[in-house]
Amino acid sequence: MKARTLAVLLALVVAVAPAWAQQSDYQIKTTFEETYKTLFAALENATSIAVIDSLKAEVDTLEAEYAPHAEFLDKAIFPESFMERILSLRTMHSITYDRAYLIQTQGVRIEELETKILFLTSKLDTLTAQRNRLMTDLAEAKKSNTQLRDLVRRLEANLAAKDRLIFALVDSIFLPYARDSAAVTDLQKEAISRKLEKANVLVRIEEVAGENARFLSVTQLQPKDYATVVERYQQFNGRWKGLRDKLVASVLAGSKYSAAPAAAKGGKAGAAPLPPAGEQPAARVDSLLTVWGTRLQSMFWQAVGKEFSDRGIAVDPFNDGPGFSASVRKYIASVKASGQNSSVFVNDVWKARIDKEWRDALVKPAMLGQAEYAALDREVSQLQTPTLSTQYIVYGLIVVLLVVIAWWLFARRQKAPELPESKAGPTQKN
Amino acid sequence: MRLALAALALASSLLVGCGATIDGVRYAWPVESVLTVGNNNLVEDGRHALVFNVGVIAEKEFADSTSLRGKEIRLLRNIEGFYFLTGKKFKNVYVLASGTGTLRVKSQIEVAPRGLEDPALNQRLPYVELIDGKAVIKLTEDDIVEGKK
Repeated sequence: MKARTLAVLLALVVAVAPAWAQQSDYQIKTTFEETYKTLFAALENATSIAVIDSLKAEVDTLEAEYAPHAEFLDKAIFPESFMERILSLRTMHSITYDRAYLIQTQGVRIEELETKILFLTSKLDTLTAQRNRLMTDLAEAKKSNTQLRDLVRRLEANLAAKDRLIFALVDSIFLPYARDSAAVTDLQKEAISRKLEKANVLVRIEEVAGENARFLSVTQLQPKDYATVVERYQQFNGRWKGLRDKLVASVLAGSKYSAAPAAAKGGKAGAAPLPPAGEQPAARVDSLLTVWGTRLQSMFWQAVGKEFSDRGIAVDPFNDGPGFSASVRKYIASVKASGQNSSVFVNDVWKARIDKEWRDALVKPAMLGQAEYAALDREVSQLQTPTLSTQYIVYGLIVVLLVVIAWWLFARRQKAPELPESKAGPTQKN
Repeated sequence: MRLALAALALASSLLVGCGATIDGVRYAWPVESVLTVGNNNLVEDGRHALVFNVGVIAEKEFADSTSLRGKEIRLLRNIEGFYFLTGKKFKNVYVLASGTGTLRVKSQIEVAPRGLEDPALNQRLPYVELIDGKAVIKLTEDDIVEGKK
């Protein structure tokens, strides 16, 4: 900073001081232009109010020193003019001042969040490296079932952590500006855009979505795993849908596809051109989420279907929630109509597998939903032939036994011997 | 007869138009151009879209047509449209007149018998000012009008 100030002052001295030598117009022009460029760059990059104030003083000096050459400079730097250059410095000063003021007034908070962003970014990188190792281990598949289960669990935990972190990162970036998005200024949008770009957020989201989709294709999930996986997909999808437009708008605000900043810098305002498809990570995230969702649905319903086919229950094939409901209802109807034995379906499939292992995932809204599952469960329960269980028989016997004992005791009391009125011995007559 | 007269008038006005002269043109550049001579001896002034070969000037000034390669020359056009050309170690300022695809050395004004050290050309209407350290010389396209060699 000191070196830059020295350079600006030196340029001014060179331009105006040599009273002992004659002045070259060319020298005046080039020195003015160099000083202008140096000051403009310094203003553009300044971050503290103190520095910006000192730069303002330098702009004032520049204007005062070169004002006598204004007429010459108007011609020499045509099509621009001396005053236009000074005005452009003052505009840049004002923009930078606003930015620095915002940063300083929210200084501590932003500093904390910046640290958090750095931490989250590095944590994400660590998780990516860990994920790569786990994927490699899984691909080798030379481990025991227990080890593989452990690997899948760790990989799941890794992916879940990444999902949480990426959105925590996004929150940290938006938090200082978390107000009505319409009230966020162009300057703030640019700041958000810079942070999003620096943290590579859209690409990271794309990566996380891709990892989740890939995870499904390389792992064999157990029924109970699906509840977590479905939950994670729903959460990710929901967060993405909520943030998508905001993220895209913010990223575009600082890119070449934004018309507003160009206009602010003196360019011509116009409709912002759209980036080409290859430069739209948001569209790629959408497409990866579709792949993830479709793959999840397909694997889930295939696995559920296998529970029926493995136990010889012939239901119509299904690949989504409504299809599953229709198949189960149709099967129930056919069993009712034919009167065939439904114990395998009810006890072995529905109770032992579907209700015990798949229930948590099936009740998720993205799959079947709580209400629909309850309705199907009721219908299946009605199929069951009422049987007298051993437990009830035992309870019944106990009750009967108690009743008998009670009756016996009562009867004994009733039959208790009457006391003789007198206990007289044989009468002896003399 | 009337038709003939009208045709004559039209022809004469067309002839007058072709040979018409615009007076009071000001060619003066506000600031000199400092141009680096390329390896092909060409200088290119992007601002004024002017390109020419300085081999003839180098030959006249240094008796070596390649002596200006990689060096800087300073060029300024005065109000009449003559180009003033000089540079470091030059003893002369060359005044060039533009023609159809040509530049002709109109005059060669000796300004520094020992050679210029750090010259610069300024537009000081109606003259061109040559400065070199403390020395200030005012020039027309023909000669020095003020200042010493």
